[in-house]
Amino acid sequence: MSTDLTITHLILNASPVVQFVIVLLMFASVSSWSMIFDRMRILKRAGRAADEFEGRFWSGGDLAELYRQIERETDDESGMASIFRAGFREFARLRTKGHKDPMAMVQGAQRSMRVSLNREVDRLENHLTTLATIGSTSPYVGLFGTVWGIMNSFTALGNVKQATLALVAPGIAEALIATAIGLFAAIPAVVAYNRYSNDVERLNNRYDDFVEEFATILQRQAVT
Amino acid sequence: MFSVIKRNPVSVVLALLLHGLILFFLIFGMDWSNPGKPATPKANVVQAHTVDAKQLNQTKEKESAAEREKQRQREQEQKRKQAEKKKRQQQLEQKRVAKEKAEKKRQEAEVKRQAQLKKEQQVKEAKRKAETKRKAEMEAKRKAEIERKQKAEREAKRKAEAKRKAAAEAKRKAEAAARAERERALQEQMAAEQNSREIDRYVAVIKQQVERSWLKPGQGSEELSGVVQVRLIPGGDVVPGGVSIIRSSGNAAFDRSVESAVYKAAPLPVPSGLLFESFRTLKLNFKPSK
Repeated sequence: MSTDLTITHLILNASPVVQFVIVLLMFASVSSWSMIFDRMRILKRAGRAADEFEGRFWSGGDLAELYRQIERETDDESGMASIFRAGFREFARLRTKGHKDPMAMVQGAQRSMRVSLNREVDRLENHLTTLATIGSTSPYVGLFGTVWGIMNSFTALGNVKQATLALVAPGIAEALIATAIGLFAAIPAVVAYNRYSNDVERLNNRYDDFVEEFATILQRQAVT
Repeated sequence: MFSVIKRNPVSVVLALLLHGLILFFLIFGMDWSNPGKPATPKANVVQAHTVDAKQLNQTKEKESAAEREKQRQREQEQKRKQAEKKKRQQQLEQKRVAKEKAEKKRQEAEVKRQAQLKKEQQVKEAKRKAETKRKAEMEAKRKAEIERKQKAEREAKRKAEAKRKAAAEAKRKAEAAARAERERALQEQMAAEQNSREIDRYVAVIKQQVERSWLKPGQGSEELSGVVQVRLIPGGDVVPGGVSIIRSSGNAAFDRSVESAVYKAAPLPVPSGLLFESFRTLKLNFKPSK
């Protein structure tokens, strides 16, 4: 019993509580990595879409023409393009209804752009809170497993007269595995959370700037 | 977690693969660094009892002498048997070799005869084939010659006819094209003149508007002049960062004042529609008038 200290052996011989903790942490690690890959793809795509759309917007074409083009490409309606669509549609609708007050028209367009922006940012932030939760709680879960395992091995130590190190060492080792797995799950989750929330913040700022710029252009059109 | 599986199963598979890999290395890495303990050899227990040394020696000697005698006899017997066996084998071998040689000779002769026959047949066949081929070729040549002549005659006739027709057609076409070209050129010229008049008018208005918002730098700038390029979007807005000095006047303050004047004057009065295309990048010449 005391000679075999491989990881598999330790895990298989651990107490049920520790085993449960280990399984829970493995599940948390797998799901956090899935979310990391998922976010990586989505954020990269959003950044690329924003670059492309800004290029098109500032290329100097007619805004109505751009709107028609974007309306036609309905499959790719994420990010800036959908904000632009929402704003321009509202503006055109108010104008055709014959509103005379330019301020009211621009404000209406701006409000619908805000709604669209919030929806976009919400879509990008999806799952980030789960990453944060995994990052902050899994070390504690691992620690709980460890404390439980060590408690058990000390209880067993109390029942014998001659206490040796060989009696407690395997128990402590198997308990410490829980902490190791907890840290293993937590570190990537925390790093990814920081990185991605920064990315989302930057995209949010870009969208914000775009809303302001577009609103000023609309205002100018409304006044003339 | 489950919505990720539904929307993007690739990332879940990637995550599972990653964990599988790490587990694999952990488990097997551990096993290599921790080889099993060598097994301790079991001790053999010897059971001993005392013996008289002299007696033991005598009996041993006797036994060994008898053993040696027996051994010698066995060896002689064996040698004899081996010699006999060898002799028999040699005789058998000689017989077998002689038989094989005869067989081989017979087979070789047979093969030679057959090869000869085959060769003769091949030669005959080849001669026959060559003859028929020669005949067929001659026939084909004759036919081809006749055909070729007829074809050439027909072809020449057809070509002459076509040439005549093509020449007439080309002449007619060229005349029509020339006429059309003349008309088109005339129209184009008229349109271009009108366009350029229109453009000049717009440029003058734009210049006026820019000059109105131009704060001219102080004394000494009356002699300066420069050219600025402006990028516009429909509606007359200036593209951010779209103002650049193409030919500097040599006076930085003067250049800066021109640039800011352009920004201040935006939106510029530009035409809409097709005519706007020539206003996308606009060059303006600057010179303080009076």
